[in-house]
Amino acid sequence: MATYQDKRAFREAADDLPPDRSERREDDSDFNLIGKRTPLIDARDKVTGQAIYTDDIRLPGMLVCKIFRSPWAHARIDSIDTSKAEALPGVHAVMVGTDAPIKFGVLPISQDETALAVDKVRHQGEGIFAVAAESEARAIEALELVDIEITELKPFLKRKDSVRDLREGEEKIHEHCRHDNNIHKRVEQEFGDPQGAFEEAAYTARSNFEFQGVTHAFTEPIAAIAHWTPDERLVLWTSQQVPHYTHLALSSVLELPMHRIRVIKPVVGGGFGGKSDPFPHEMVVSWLAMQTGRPVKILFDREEVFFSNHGRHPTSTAVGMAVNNDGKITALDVDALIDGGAFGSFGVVTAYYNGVLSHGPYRIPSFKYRGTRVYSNRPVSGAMRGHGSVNSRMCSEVALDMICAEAGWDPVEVRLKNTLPEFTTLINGFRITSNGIRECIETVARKSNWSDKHGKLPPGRGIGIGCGFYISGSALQIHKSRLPQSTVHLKIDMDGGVTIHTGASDIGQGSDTMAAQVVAEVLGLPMERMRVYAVDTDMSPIDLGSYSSRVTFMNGLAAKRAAEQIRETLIDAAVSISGYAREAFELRDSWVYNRHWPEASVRYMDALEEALANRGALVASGSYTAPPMGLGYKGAGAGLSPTYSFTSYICEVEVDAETGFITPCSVWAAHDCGRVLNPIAVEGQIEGSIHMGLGQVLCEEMDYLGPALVNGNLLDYRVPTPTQTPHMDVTLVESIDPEGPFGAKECGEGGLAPILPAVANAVYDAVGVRVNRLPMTPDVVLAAIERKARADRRQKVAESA
Amino acid sequence: MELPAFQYHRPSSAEDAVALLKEYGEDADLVAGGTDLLPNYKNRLNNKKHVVSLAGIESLRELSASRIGALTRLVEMERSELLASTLPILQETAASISSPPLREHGTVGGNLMLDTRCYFFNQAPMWRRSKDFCLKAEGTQCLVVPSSNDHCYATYSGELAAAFLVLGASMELLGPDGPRTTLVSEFFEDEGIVRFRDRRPGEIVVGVTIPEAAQELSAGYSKLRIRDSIDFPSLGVAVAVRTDDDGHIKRLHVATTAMTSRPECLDDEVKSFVGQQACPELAERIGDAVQKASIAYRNVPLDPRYRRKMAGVFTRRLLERIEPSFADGTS
Repeated sequence: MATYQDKRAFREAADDLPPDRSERREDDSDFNLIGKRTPLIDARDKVTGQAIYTDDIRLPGMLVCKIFRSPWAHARIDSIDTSKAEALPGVHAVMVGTDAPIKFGVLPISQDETALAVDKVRHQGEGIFAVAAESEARAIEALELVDIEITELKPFLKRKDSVRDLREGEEKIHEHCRHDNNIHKRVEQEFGDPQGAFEEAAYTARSNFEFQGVTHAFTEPIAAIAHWTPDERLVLWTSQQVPHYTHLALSSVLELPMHRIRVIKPVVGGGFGGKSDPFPHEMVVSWLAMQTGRPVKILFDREEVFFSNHGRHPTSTAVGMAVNNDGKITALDVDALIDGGAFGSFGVVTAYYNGVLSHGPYRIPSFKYRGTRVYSNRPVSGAMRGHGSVNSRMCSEVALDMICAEAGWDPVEVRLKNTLPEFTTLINGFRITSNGIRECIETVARKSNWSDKHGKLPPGRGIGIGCGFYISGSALQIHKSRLPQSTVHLKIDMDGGVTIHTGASDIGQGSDTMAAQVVAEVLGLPMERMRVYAVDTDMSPIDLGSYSSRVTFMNGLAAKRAAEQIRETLIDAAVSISGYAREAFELRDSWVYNRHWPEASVRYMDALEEALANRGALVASGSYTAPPMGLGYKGAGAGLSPTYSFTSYICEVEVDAETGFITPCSVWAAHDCGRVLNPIAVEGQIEGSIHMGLGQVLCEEMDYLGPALVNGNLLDYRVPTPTQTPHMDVTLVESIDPEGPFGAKECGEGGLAPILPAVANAVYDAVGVRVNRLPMTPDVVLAAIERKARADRRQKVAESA
Repeated sequence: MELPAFQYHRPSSAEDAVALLKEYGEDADLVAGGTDLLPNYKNRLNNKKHVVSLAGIESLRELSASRIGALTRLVEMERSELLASTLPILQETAASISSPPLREHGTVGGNLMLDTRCYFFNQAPMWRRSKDFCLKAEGTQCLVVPSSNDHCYATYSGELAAAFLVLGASMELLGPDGPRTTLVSEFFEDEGIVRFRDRRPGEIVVGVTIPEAAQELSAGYSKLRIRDSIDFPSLGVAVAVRTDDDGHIKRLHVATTAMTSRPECLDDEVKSFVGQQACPELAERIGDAVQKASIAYRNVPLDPRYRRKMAGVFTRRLLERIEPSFADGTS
């Protein structure tokens, strides 16, 4: 066998020397991959059409599932007769609600959904029965053969009807509601002395806002395939952000132990929170597969995706803000009435977030919040990008703008007066660590030429600012557990490739690339050696899922910690090969490199060979658990996060005062995401967030006619097109978080909320009206402009009289 | 969702297409680009057993300043230098329809013959079942105007028709009795199911003829929709005007679309302005007249009152754009 010296001689002959690093900086920012523009590792597969999404999977003997969806909003099911459908040739099974009646839900405290409606239906579009047949056409035919008798019940469609006590002849949507009404969750919080603050305030603003529901409109429709294998295990391929919660729910509903269930997440075409619950259809195809012994696939029509919804809650919010003579906020008062639709989903969290995520990015010395989430007979609302923070953020940022307008203050200066410092604790117990909000605000103000524009642009043109902050992973676990919140396994064998097993769900946001980048950085290897095997519950360690902007922080740290163990092993090997002390070794450029004596450096493959000797593949497991934090009051855990991102946006708009059309011209965005791991990915998230938020401000809404969603398709549900997309100038502010992986924080959600008030405040600057109803469609804006013109005329008449 | 089953026919001549239509009568639909018909078929909206495709009929692809074949794709109109120099309103209108990918497929004939649309109609079967269906598909009652059980108020959303109306164009039809022409203004019926006043059984649209005098008009098209792309119009306004050397209006044509069940020719409503001096104040008055003459129903996006108001604003703005004397009072 060749000796180490021989190999060195060979390498020198091949001119294969360790890189000259004499010029490099000694600080920790001298990264190999972190901070470099790194294309997502699945990008080529996607753009060439090679990526395998759930619907691309074909299994032998696969059946097609179709679900009959309720045309009724609220009805008791009196009887279902499936015999004719079952007799239809090509139909293998028909399922009704009583076949799998165990309730489930993403939160242990809101287990109120079933695979199919049992006894009663609660919204139009809810599944009542399902068919597995040999073709889609046959399945649709079979659905028509089921006889169903129902008794219609009075639907609850207005939030104010859900809050009040039941009247004669009305029936609660859910039996479990504590009182004689349809209230799902009430939250009341008070800190400091809000009443006193309002009494003593120099300026106060109060306003009411109406937010229509919006939905995620992800590209890939919901899909799943279930297979009951010959050895009696259930395998489910599903388009999911939270495969682990699906795993738990399947076990409970199907009464199968978890080890007999395998959940696989194929490539997912977008989620935004719309695929972050265990779903009824997952239970349905699993039950049908178990029943028939054949694989069963379901692919939703777009309309069904809209019925599945889980989008942002329609909300009526009243906000009050008190400010003293110095321009310092003294109190914030938020009252939110939130329409949860027919089921719980994440709604308890939503009820908290509408309040608690108003505590930043400014110091709020006194705070009052009342949040009420109600059930209604509409498709369920749930978590959507910026979950719970978006609507309330719009309210408080507009309130601050109203006060600035009244007092004649500059909105940028007033915000700078109120920003939270780094490393501080909030009145509700939130622990703030890294914080780049000041730099964010100063950056966008400078880049937009704010001081030359605000209040100074010609009529019809205006500029506005909005700020925000967001959790970087919920510190609190949904299921009480002593397991870590995220775990990553690594394996390296003699081929030198690094296999990363992660449970984190890449839904297009790039978490697979993030994990690969983190591991490659620690090991000093190029990306091409990384291969990510994500979310197959038989192989991947658990990660709780892609929600609450937790993945980069938590999964990134787990990946980093696993890689650091391997790093030590490889350094051990280099020490044993070279005989040099371990202190000066580091991994970079595919070398175990010796900083002080480059000639002692060992090639990665040589170190690996040494490390593998008599042991075999290197394996490591890294994990993350959030540290204990927060206060002890009821609900104190909601909104706690190991760190928070901060954002400031300025938007310039043009408003056509004669038609009411708003054109967003430019957005200057600054987002503090700690260390930027991958600028391409972060910029994409910020631009995507702006675009999505513009949809909610300008044109997107779940448009209902009574109980019926009128626009359940991507023609009439109007996601902004490229022609409406403004120029976007994105600055990434790096506050370098002390706890995040390489200092990183979230960037996927916090960047949404601030665009709403930035646009709203710009519209005010342009035409002097506050449009407090979203979306600001041109008819609504024009009506507001005309109201103001009438009021101005009346005032003129009064003044002249 | 898969398309429902149907028998597909692909004749290679217009005469063969007419023969197929004659043979299958009410059981057949025509398809060209498919961008209107196929989504409706997926929603099981009045789908037929036979679909006759016009895609193989090469003779329908003509494009000149006096004649546009029915199978001309919208993208071809949009990119036509000939139209840009002779009838720019047609280029402008075509370019505003839907989105670039759909304009690659959509055709002139298809846009003219677009089925009427309505919130209560363009829905999936389950949705329509929840409303006991509407007059236009399977039901007995109009859901827009609930007192109506014999009149459908679905909205006509074709855009080229408005432009053709102000140019005084004619439809070329081919039927079992041979070819004939009829004015675009005579062709449509203000009823969402009937749709056509002057289409005889078995007739297909083979093209549109534009009078040479149309090239003397200044004309433009403007479209109201929430997004700048993809959306069907919530209102379309076409205006054509000709003034003499002194700035007096010699000809004035206004048409709207996406307001009622047909493209509306408003020439009668504005004829009193002919002979008057073009000036900003007159543009305002013409706009007001158009607003007053417009009706709209609550079955497509945006409030009807707002859409009527915009009919006036859009008319005035179009006049200002196409004829400078309306903008600043000088000619």
